[in-house]
Amino acid sequence: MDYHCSGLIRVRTIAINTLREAVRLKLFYLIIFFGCTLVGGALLLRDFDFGRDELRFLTDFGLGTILLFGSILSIGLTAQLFFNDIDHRTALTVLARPVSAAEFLLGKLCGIALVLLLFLIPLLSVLMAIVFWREGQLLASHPSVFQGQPDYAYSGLLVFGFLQWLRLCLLASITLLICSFARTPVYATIVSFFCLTICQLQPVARQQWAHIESPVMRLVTQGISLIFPNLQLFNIGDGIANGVLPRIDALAASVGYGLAYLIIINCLAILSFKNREF
Amino acid sequence: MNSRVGILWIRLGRRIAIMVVTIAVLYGAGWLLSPLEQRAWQPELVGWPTLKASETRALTEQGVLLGLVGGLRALTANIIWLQSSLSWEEHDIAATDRGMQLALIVDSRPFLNWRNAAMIMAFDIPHWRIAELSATLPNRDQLVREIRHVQGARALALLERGKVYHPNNCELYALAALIHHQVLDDEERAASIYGYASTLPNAPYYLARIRGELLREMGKYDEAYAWYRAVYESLPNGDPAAQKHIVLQRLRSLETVLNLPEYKRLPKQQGQ
Repeated sequence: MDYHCSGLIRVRTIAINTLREAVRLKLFYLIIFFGCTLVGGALLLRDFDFGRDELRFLTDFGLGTILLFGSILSIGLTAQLFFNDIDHRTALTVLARPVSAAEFLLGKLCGIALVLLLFLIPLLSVLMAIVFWREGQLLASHPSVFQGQPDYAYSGLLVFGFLQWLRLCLLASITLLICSFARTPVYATIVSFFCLTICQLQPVARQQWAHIESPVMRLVTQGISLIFPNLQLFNIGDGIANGVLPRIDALAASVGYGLAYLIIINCLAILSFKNREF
Repeated sequence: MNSRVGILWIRLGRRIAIMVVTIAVLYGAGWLLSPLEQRAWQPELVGWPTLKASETRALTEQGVLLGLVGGLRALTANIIWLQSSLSWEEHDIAATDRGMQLALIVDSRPFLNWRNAAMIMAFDIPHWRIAELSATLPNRDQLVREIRHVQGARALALLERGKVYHPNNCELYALAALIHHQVLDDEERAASIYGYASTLPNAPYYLARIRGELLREMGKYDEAYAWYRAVYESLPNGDPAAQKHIVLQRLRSLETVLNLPEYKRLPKQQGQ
């Protein structure tokens, strides 16, 4: 019992340390700064909007920015923090103490999850503030369109934020898995971005099964699409922009899917990291 | 020396074993979690387009992939649309067509893009192509007809795709009817689609009147009269947009044309 409690304490210590390291990095602030600027910059890009109403465009653009910058942060930061510990021999020192590889990686992932939360909060706040401000202006100038009542679903943005956090944590765990056997951060980052692309384009692969004539190629495509998780599940931004909230059962299934993959990929990362030669 | 080689082999074997285990576990996880994934998949929220094989290839165009992967679909589609508008100004048929199709694949949500793309296909592109034809061509009239029909059919196919995303949008149906009428010279089909469009939510009143006029143009006076009677009874009294008096005028004119006996005519209305 004491061992498990102290295990949790060790994980917490590593997580806090990871968070502290991350907030010292310029990359973290740069991404938050550019993300907030781009979300706010959507106001200036409204001239590029043809055919959608303004609040939808602002939401769509803001959520797209969160998705893009969140992915860059999740992959870049995880690779950098992991290899910082390897290159500075901190990982060796930590693992020489009674800290297992599992505790080390879990601590890293928890720390990165906290960093991702710190990234999502300001960006979502800026997006909500912009939408709220413009909605107020539009409500005052065109009351008949809104029938005097604001109709924007802000709760949808919170749901989106939560699902994105889960998605980014999953992406961080995929990066950790790649880092566990990679030798350089550049290699880990590039491979992680390839994985992100495959995971995002999963629906395309699945749609193409039916069109592939060769049974061998069909099997290969099917295999690849089963190996990688479908990250497109968490991108419910389109619905949110249109004021449609996810069904509770589908939301629960998405969360369950994300958590299951998070556990599985972490177990694999631990297995790989245990066998890593320093 | 041998022991060093042996160690290297053991290390390599261990690495391969871990890789195999990783792939096998991920494959198994994907297989086990696929029912959960199917339950979680909500295409209406994800807004993921249903792509044909040819359209998937279009996704590899520069910038498009970033838009889809990064989620900046609206902006990417708008920029592509803007590019295609520049091609439209130059009457570049291939680039305009390609740009519009690509913009609609990347972001299928904006209704105006579907409508404008169909109009460009059905009305502008045939006009450009016909203008390029030599006036002395012996079979020019037939070629003109073929061009209009081919482009009209393409525009209708595009509208069919648009209706998947905007199933109850009366404007898409009205445009389809207009194309049938003015491009494909199929008044029968146009009248039928106008009739359906007039029953959709938020349909303007004039759609029903256009169907009535088309029936009259085709010489189907009985059908036109029956249609106008039904429309007249459904129109509200106080709404100026309903133009109830115009419908009444047309009813009276049809009664004269059909030479209807008094008992079959619409009774005298208020204000007459």
